[in-house]
Amino acid sequence: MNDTKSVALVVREEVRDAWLRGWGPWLMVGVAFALSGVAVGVAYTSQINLLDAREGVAILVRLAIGLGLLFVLFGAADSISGERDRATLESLLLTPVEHSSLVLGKAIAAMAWWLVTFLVATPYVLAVGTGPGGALDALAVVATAGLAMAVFFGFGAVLISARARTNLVSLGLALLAVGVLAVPGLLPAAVTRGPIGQFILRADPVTSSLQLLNRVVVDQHSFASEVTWLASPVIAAVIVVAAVVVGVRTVEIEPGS
Amino acid sequence: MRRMLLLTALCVLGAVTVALPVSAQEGPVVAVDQESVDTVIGTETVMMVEISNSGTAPTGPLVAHLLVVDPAGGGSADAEDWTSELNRPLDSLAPGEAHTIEWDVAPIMAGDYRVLISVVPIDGGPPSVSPQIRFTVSQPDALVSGATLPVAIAVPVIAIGAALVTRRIERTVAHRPT
Repeated sequence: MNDTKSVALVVREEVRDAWLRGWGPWLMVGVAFALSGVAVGVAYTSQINLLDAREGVAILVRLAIGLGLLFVLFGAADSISGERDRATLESLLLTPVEHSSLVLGKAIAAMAWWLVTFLVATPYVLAVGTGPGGALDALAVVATAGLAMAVFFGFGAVLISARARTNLVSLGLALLAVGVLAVPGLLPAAVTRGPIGQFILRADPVTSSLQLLNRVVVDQHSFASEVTWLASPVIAAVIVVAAVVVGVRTVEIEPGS
Repeated sequence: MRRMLLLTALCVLGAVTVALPVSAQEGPVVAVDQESVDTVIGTETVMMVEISNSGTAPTGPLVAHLLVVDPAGGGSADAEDWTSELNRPLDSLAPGEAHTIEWDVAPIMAGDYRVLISVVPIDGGPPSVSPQIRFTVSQPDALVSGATLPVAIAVPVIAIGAALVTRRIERTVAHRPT
């Protein structure tokens, strides 16, 4: 089977597993309820002011991106090491599909979690964002920064999953990576004002994406004027995709054995 | 006659006392182009602020600073929330020279506020303050979109419907004879 066909086959089967046979649609019901609660909560506070209204949109956008990334991360981190844990990897590797196509297909299929979360979140961002203004800019942040991070974490988690002996290791490492990359965002403003601090903010894909979100949604700068903050998330995503496409040629039943 | 002289002296002293604040004023003089502004939350207002040197010596470098006062004390009077340019550095003004700056402000909360511009000589000297501008800020209904509640109800309902449909499709596919 040629590469494109086999990748498409893997994607189709994985998407079916998650969205027809699995819990995907019901998890999205949960996402919808969570976003509804937050949307109503931020919109109808008793003493709303413009800053709170913008911050409310930012909370909604962060929640949408965060939930989407979480699903992508769990789906992708489970993709190969999960098959290993469930002892189904061996039979999967016996199918006439190249290992690289298998890994690539699973990584692409994990993006479905992001796509569906984005579709569910879109009406909320547009509705809540219309009040204080900048709804389309907020949606542009979700679509671009969110997608770049989803690709980065999704493909990165699949890369880890292909090498990890157990699902626990795979999930643990993926979550650790998220935690480490979130640290620069917690640095005090005094540290990030200098050139080194600014470099760290721009180089870290997670912090850079959050900076873009704050500047566009809270500070109401136009998306076009802040688009340079997308550089590191996009570069990181491209590097990780290249690493999956070029770097994973074989999948071992027991890595390192 | 003595009473006449005393009365004259008191009048002269009074006149000097009244005239003193003007004649003795040194450094920059700050003027604004508006006395009051009626606006709504988030709407940008451009204030024209003229800083002039009415003294006989250069002012030295100056910094103009925006002040927002809430006399009722209940609203947000944090000037940083109103403008992205809280401080505006200015070059020294020669005697008689004036400089006009535009200041964009956008209130973030409804209320009745007083906005002032203070100008401080960096090298020392007395600060100057503009006359106050009264900002009456009202809240637009549009701050909360009317679509929020319908969306918050409709999307979960649609999501539940979609989940039930996918389950039915899967059952149909699973029971289809191969």
